[in-house]
Amino acid sequence: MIEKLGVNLKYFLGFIVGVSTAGLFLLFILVKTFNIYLFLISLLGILLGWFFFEDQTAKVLLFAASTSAGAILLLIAVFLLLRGFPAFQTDPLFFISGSTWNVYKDIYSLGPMIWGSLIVTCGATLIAAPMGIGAAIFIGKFCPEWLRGILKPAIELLAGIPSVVYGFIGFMLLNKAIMTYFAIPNMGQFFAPAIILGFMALPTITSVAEDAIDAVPDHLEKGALALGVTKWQAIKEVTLPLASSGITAALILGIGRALGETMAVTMMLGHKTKYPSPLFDIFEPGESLTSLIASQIGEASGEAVDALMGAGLLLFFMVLVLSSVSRLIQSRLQRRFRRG
Amino acid sequence: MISNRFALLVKKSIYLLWFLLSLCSILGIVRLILDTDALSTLNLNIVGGVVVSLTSLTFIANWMIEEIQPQFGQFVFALFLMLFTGVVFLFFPNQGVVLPDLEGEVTPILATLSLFFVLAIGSGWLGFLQLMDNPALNSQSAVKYFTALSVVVPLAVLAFFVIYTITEGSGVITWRFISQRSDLMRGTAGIFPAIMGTVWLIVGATLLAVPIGVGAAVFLTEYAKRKWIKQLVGVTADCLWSTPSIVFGLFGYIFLVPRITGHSTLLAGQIILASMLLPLTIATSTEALISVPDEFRSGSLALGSSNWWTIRTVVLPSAVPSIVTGVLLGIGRIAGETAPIMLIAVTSHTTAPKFFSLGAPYFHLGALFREIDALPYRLYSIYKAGVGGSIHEAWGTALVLIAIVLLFYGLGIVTRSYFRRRRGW
Repeated sequence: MIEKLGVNLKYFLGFIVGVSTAGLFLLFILVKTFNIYLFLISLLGILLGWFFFEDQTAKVLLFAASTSAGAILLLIAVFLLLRGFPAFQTDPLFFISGSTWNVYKDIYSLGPMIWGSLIVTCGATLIAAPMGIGAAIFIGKFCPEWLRGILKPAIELLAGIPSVVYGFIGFMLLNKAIMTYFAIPNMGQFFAPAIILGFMALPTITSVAEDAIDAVPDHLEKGALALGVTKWQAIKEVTLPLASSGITAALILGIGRALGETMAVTMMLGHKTKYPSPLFDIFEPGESLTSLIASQIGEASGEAVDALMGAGLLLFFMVLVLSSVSRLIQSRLQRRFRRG
Repeated sequence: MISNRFALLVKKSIYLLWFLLSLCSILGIVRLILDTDALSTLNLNIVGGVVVSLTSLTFIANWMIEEIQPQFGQFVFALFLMLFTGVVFLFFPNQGVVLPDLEGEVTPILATLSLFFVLAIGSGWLGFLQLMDNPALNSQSAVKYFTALSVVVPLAVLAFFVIYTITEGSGVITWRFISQRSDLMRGTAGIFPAIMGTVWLIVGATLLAVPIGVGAAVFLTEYAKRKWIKQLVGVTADCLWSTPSIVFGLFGYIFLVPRITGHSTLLAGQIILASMLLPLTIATSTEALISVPDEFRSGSLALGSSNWWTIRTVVLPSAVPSIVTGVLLGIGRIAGETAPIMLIAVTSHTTAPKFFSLGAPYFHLGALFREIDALPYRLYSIYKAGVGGSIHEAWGTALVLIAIVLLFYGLGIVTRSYFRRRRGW
């Protein structure tokens, strides 16, 4: 009897807490209010549950925690869609591929910024890809164990320096140096941020590629070595082809990092919202998607905000696609080696 | 064997390209020698020459190993292109060096040069790949040095940046600079509010993200039975991790700010930074929990304790060191984030958030709902105002910021290596 009452009480309590928490979040999201009573009810309910049914309460709370990342991602996607969609609504083709961004005339199209992002990202990849993969090969295959313990955190550290510091140093040193050495009259060309961005994207590529190289079972390479090939031949013919999809994932992830990097680009680019002429001229001032948002959102109003939200939406989905493709490749790689 | 022949053609045309690039720079240098007025071409040619000679290094190595003789037809082609570029360099003097007017009109040579740069780097990389493919180079030492170089270069850049910041910034760092706010009347600089703002941002973000992240990891490793749940959470965490920081800022701007007070608040910054820290916490905690051996769990369960009790008393404590390491590294990452807090939490020239006081209420929750200053934003706002006057302050701020980040990274790395050595399993 008492047991049954306990079970019923448990479900009742769970129901109350569930409803009040859901109500709390719904009110917060939809009506923009934080209802203190609902909050107190759920808090009290959780405390009671913790006191009487610790195991089950813990399980429910842990489940709730595990949905948090998805919930945040969903919220970001939904709210960016809601706010960014109007910009695409009138003329999506012009918004993406037109050539004018003029705040005074209320004409907004992201063409030059998309092109600028492309240039900067390509430049960064040209620097980060060879060096990042080379570093991964060295750390994974050639360097002794003690050195590896030093090099891996050191490369991680490269990602740890804040991007605003990269931007500041790049602005103070690289931009000025390039301006003087190349005798260019403007400071914020595409060239300098591409270089800095290359070094910022490098650690991502190195660590993921190194994981991929590490994931290749040792016995395959040893088998090749036993057949009499040199170490480099074994790496080249056995390890790298097997790790190639992981390395691809690393590259995609690195490209995503470079694409989404904000502060360094904002501080080093020249904020000219026009196509460079000719298109491939990397010594002209320009603008990328991220730097556009970062530099203009503070002062924007009216339609400009919508357009910037549209830019953010575009950026978010570009990076989302890149990172999910990368993740897909990685999980396929893992499955492959688990089976083999 | 069409594909083979095609590959050879591609290979040879790449060699040709190098040839041309080196010739261009040589011609440029020749012109420089002949024409003493062209002083400002000097830099352009030297930089071009460095790039070209670096790429042609691999070219020469390839050529010497494989002993490829350029064919007659290619030679004519090369000669033609060489003449063309030579003509541009030799007979259109000052095309590249006359400073265009400030509207940024671009000279053809500058544009061509940028094309060359892209081609040179790309072909250099292709050449490197081909060199790696060369059977004569299978002794591993050469490869080893090549790959070692790609570790050394980024680390050298890192060291240069840090050392440069130290030399520029250390002169400004005084006790006054760190412990007080800027005094506009006296004209003295101080970054105390910014330091405290960053500290509170970190504290709030950690307090929010760590319980949730660790909880999620515990659920995934200990409770979730189906694989797709794990994969789903893994994918969402990955996507959240790679979401650009400015998108987080926009999200906070349209979602959190109108819902909290309508203006920038410390709380909004903490929540957004927590959601940036969350995926990393989930990932590292999951890894840490997976690495706890199953014998621990079965030992505890065999003694009759429940699943949750086992997790609380056995699994979590043995995973704590790895979790702490991951969180410390994550904090190092978010401490310097500017873009997300720029729109939702910060303003320049404000006081430090004041949570505690000696007087009556002792604790002020209201500090959560105030704007703050933060180190990365301070640096950015100095940049935005024009670095002219407060350049030293900017370097000092950068130095303090780097020091804080390095501190967290250092702590993380030390914790990791300490526990890795101590851990028995």
